[in-house]
Amino acid sequence: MDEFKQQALSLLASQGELVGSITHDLKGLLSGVEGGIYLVNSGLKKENPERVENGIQMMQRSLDRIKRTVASSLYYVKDREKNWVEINARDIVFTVKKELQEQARHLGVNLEIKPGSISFEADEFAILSVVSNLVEYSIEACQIAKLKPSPTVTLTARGDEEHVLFEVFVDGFAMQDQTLNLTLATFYMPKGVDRSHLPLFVAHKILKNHRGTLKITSSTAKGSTHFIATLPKEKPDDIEADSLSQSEKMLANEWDGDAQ
Amino acid sequence: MASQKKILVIDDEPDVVSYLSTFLEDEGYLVVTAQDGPDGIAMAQTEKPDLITLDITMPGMSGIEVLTNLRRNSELEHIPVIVITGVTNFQNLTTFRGVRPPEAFMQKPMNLALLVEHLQDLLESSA
Repeated sequence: MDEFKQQALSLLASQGELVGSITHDLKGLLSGVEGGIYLVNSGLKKENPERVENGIQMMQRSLDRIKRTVASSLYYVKDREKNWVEINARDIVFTVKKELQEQARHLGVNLEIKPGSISFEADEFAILSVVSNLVEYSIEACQIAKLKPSPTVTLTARGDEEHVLFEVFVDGFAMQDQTLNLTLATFYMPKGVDRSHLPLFVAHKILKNHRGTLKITSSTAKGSTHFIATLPKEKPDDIEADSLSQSEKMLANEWDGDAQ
Repeated sequence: MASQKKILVIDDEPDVVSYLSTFLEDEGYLVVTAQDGPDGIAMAQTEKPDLITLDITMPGMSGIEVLTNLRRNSELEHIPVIVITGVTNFQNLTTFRGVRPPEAFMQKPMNLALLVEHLQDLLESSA
């Protein structure tokens, strides 16, 4: 079998696996929607307004995460057309905290924020996806690693004259050099990514499409990892929507298959 | 009067835990919860529940590993387990490593009527 066919089959297989795992995630999130409906209905019957409110919040959280999961899978397959608006980094930080606070608490992770007020131009939904993906990845990583009794994820928004930066400092998770190199390599691999790397892959892809960058450093000695997502405050003049998917690029012989 | 039955809910999704706990309490059960495999095993040891609901896909230790641990523990192996999972082909999960499979499987999103049926069957038969 020639190399092109091998690469194509490998890409299809990994995309198929990814679709399977995303479907699995969506089932869990749909349970959240159902759970919210149950809480609202039973809360109304029992005249329990606190339960009704919990139900409404549960439904909202689940719907937000469903939207992001669907968007992430679409970003993986094909770039989404961007809707450029002026947004404030502070609002992004507050929204992410609201969405992920409960999950962090449930998993024993402290989620702290430092929401600097910085205005910039971007696709709001896309940037929310970037920051949510980084924070959610970090929360789950802390919970799996169990490096520290009280792990903390700190989300900071700050800026300089030309850029806005979203930093996620994770005290409770670290990557070995080999893992970090592999993670960075998946940003460029045409063979697709597995479920564990999807959040970082999508974050990197969105930032790249905004002419931004994602920097990751990690210290096993300190048990910490630092993500820094940087993007320009103003919409770059030369930006264009990249509408070809990986498969389309491969077919057009435009994909560079070498990991960088 | 029969004592209140205790159910341990093991799931890493906080909203699923909240939903299941609330529903089970409404049905008259006492509920304890755990958000991952190691905690689930520890809770089973300390709480000695009458039944366990168990997610499969959890970070770190999977539900299959949890089940294997429970079945290999002489104090816990008798506790009936209902797997509640988003995994589609769960009936084909054969990697139970030679231990007794779960008493029931359910897919997410849950069918509450079916869950009640399973609970009545399993808890009445163990009474």
